[in-house]
Amino acid sequence: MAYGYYDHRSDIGITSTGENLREVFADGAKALFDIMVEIKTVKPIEKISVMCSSKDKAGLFVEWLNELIFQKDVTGMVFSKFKIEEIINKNDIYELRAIIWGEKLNPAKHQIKVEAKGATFSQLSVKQKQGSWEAKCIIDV
Amino acid sequence: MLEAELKKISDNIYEISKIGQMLVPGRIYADEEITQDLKNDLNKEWNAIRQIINVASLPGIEKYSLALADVHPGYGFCIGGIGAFNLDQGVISVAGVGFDINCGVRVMKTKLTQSDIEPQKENLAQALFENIPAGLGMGGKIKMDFKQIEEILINGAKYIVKLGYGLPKDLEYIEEGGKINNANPEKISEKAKRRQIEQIGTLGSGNHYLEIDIVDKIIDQEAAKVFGLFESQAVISIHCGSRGLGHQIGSDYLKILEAASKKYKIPIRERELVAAPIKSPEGQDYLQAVNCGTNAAFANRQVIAHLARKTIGRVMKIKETDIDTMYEVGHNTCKIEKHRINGIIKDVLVHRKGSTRAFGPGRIEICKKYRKIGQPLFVGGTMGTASYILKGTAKAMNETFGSGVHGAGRRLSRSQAKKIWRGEELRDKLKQEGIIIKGHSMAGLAEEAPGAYKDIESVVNVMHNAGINEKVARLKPYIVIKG
Repeated sequence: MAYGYYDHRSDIGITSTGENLREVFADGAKALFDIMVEIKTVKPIEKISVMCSSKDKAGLFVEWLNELIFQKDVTGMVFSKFKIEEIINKNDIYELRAIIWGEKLNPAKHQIKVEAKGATFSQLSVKQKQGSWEAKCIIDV
Repeated sequence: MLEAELKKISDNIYEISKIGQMLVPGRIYADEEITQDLKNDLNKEWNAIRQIINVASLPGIEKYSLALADVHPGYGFCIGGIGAFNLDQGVISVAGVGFDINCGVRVMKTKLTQSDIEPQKENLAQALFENIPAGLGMGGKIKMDFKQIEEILINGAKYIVKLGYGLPKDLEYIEEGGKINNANPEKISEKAKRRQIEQIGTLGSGNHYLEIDIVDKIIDQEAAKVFGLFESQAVISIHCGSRGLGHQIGSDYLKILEAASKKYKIPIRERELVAAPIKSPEGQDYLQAVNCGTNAAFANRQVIAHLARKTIGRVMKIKETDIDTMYEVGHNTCKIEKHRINGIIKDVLVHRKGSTRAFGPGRIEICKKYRKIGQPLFVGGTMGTASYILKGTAKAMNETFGSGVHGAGRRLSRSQAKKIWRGEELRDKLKQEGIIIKGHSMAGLAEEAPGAYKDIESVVNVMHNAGINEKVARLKPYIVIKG
């Protein structure tokens, strides 16, 4: 499990790798919130259940990240722990169910960085590579 | 490598001849340096020239697929990109507007000069920083319910003024009078509305800002007089858009228009460049949704303008009514406008992605006071470099569907910028130059370092020399509030 960033002219590219899709999606979420705050300062105090779906795996990655940004916008929370309960394919639609943990954003505590506005389809990929999985996506900031 | 030829037509115009599926040529307003940047990108998968070509290949496009001097790669459309489509065969595209629907700039003018503010500079900066919601997670100061949000989506800044935030005379100086018609809240998701509830009148972060700028130089005396500008004058610039609501509308309609692209057999050349025929139900739905986003952005800027006015009025002990809206115009829009094409005046849907409407003299859409001069437009600089007020021209009406540039465009990535600069150092250095920066994020400041952006002078010079957007006044930053 790991995540990182790559260069992009005006926004930020994120990558995450893992042994399975669930790990890759969970670490992609960490990469997203580490753009916005110092993620290690965010305590996993409150939890929320989230769901999303898409017709392909790459689309699901974008949906997942955008769902997290939506939750951030409407709850005023930032998140640091992500458990993907399942990713299933039902009638050619990929569905994801997850529990996310975090706390109310506190500028004095969380070392605010930059607001992520949304995940985009640019340079998007979710693929298997030598036994492990890798996801990439550009975050609009 | 993309096989496209950039042919120089004149000193400031380059053309991409029709290749492949292109229905019209591409045209770029640029100098040699800007063109060289574009050519250097050609071997990359993601480049602006490819995006100009892709837009030129969409059904119903008129005359040219255009890019102006602030061109750089975007999502589907390039930034600085313009595409006008006829209403019969043409399409509407999410990429042509972008996610931050109707992101734009409001400029307000004061009767104050730099020397009037100087003794209160730090106080004013601090008061603005405390009173203008900016940065990650900062909610709006004005709370509204769902019903009121729907009023905003339908009536934009007009509704905000009705609530008592701002002055009725503001509306005359906002594009579309602060309210675009044909906005239908039923066409946007509940998620989008919920995001707006939390974010009414917030600046956001990234390249958005509220600044007090000083008029540094008047270039066009006649136009400046009509716009009410004079040297040493303090003006307020507000740059923000439709926030999470705009993003939600964009994300929701990407899916709807992807299905529409397949249904109507419009090839998808980049995943964000999905489109629907303007006449189709999907196209009409998106137009009504995007108009809601446009109105939300008008409303956000009106609330921020109100908060800025109150703060400046209190600190500087001046009447709020002495702060007038000079003009407000968006740079992520799509609108139906009348344009002369091959000698015939007709309605077209003009997408402007990172491009400002810049109508020339005489257009009925320009407020009466400025109509003879041409519409003002704003080119935002960085927190350490100049911004410009320009005016639209008759030539812009003929060549660019009455459009203009909106900014300088990035030169370095955010991580490159952070390797070179530190937020605190930057803030201290700019302070020595007389610019106070107040930011919620030091990392964010480093990312927005002046050196990370292209030279605004060359961008503006290209447009001025091409006769598309003419210089009126140059502004220098004085107090900068960032998210």
